[in-house]
Amino acid sequence: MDDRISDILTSAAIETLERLAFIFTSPAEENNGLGSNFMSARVSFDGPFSGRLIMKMSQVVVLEMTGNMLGIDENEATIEEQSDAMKETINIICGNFLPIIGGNQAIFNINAPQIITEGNDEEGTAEAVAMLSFDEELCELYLFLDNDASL
Amino acid sequence: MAINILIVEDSTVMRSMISKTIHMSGIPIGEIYQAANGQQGLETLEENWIDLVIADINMPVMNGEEMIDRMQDNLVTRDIPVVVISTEGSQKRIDRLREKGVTFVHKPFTPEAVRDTIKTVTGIGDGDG
Repeated sequence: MDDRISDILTSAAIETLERLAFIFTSPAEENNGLGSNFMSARVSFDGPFSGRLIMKMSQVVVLEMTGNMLGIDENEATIEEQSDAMKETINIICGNFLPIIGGNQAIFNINAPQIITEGNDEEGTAEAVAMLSFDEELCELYLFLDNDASL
Repeated sequence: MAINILIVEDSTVMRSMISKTIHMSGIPIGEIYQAANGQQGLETLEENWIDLVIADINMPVMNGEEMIDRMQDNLVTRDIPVVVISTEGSQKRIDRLREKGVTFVHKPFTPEAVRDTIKTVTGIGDGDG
């Protein structure tokens, strides 16, 4: 795992969550695990290097994020709205993270984000990891690169 | 003078955010139309009077750049101002869009950035009309 890339991913995620959804996170000092109630999303990309970004977010944070983005009470957010908010958020994190790593002249194609259903988890060793804390809830991001990719 | 705006964006949440931002901006708004991809955007342009298009780039069916190219090939739509709101980080792609006369706002956007951009490209200020 590359600590430098992890730090950049952490910063990109923190900034995006703040500016997009008014969710103010900080790097998690402890990882007590997400528990069983969380939502996951994946976005793949290709360009000078290819791979995918995975985001796992505690359901509490998903609800608040969705409510903030839509300007509604978080308890009114439907599953579809929560899923859409997750996908848009990971899309923006990825879009902001890649040029920092690849340079602003690099051209990346970011594919449509997807919600990860149970049993469809990623395997392997992540190139970078970001663990964010929000009121004792967690948001985790994992960057996986394709076999022949290097940064 | 109130303006009609078309938002072309595949994320329903993002369309809602942009719509709310526009409504809070103080800009006089007639109608806000929404489309989920470039193809739907072109269809909406055919059927309605649109003064401004706000579009994402990465969309299914037809992406934003192709929609913009088709708009500019059409005498009826080629002069409609377009604001792209996107995560696009490649300076090459951003420059290519700007060469087409498009104004670019990066996601995540601030409401002020969207408001000021709309005012600049339309020439409309608060309370006009």
